[in-house]
Amino acid sequence: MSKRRKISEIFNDMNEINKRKPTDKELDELAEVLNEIDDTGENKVDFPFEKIASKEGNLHGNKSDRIQ
Amino acid sequence: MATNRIGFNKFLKDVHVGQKVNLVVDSNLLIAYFDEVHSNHESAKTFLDGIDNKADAKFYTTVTTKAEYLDYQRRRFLTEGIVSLVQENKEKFKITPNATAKINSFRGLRDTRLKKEEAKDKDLDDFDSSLNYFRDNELKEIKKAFRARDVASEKGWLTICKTFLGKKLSEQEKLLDEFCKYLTTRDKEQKENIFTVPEVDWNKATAISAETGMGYSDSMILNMALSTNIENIATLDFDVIYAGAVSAFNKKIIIPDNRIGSFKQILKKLPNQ
Repeated sequence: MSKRRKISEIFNDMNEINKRKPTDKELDELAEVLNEIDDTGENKVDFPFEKIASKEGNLHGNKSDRIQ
Repeated sequence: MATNRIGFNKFLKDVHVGQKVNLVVDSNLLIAYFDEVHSNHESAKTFLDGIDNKADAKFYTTVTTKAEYLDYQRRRFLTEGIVSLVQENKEKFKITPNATAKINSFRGLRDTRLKKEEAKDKDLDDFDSSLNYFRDNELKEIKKAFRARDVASEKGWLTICKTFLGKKLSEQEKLLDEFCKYLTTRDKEQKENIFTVPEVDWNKATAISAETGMGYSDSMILNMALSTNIENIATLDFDVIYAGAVSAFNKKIIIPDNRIGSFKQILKKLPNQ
């Protein structure tokens, strides 16, 4: 079994992830989705869970009667 | 009878250079070690780095603790990302008035909780850093405001998760897996060298929880530790310290030095103290 690194090194890697911000590209892609939703009125406050619960396919195309 | 509690500094001082040290760590200590804004970060980092630099240290925990740590990080990353939508990145996003109102409403509640915590006038080391982040029910409410009318066009919330959680959680999981070993009797090496029982009896975790009223995830880690020959349990959690005094007197419970006195006052009337 390989010996692990010093935990202070693991901390540095973990801390880099804690401080990591989305790139401009990622924010632009998110803005494209959220702003489109806003423009088309797709976003709705009262989410119709019963409609989703009765759908045959979930997000992965599997049959499910559970709320996704 | 002597106490089984020992301060971080005393434990670190007593450890010999190169000594093999096995240590069970709980979720609060892991969170404090890795989260720079945690009120106990400095003491947790000084202690664990000190042990790792001085001794041949192995850190053990449970998969339940791993789940608790990653869930804390999930709440943290989502809160920071969602708040950024209405703060530093607000010019970029045209999110719905409903979503904006929900986010700002929960920001207000969070700020109120933080102010109340600050107003308690207690030791800064007791500050609950998880109050910085939205609660799970609040995140669920915000999620609803970003969900689509039809699941086929569901992408708003999923893209938020991709942007702010993305690979961060899985990268952190790998780092945590490198940091510590998860106690399990299914590991041959652990079964032969660490565990003192063939299988962990989970009914005993229930008994510990029932005896002291501690949370079940804490009683699971304590029960796991009691099923091993690991002598040391490092924690920041009062429940673990309390239950350790009642149910795990053959283990050393290692806690921040500045808490020894306060716990001594609270626990001095327990039968074993």
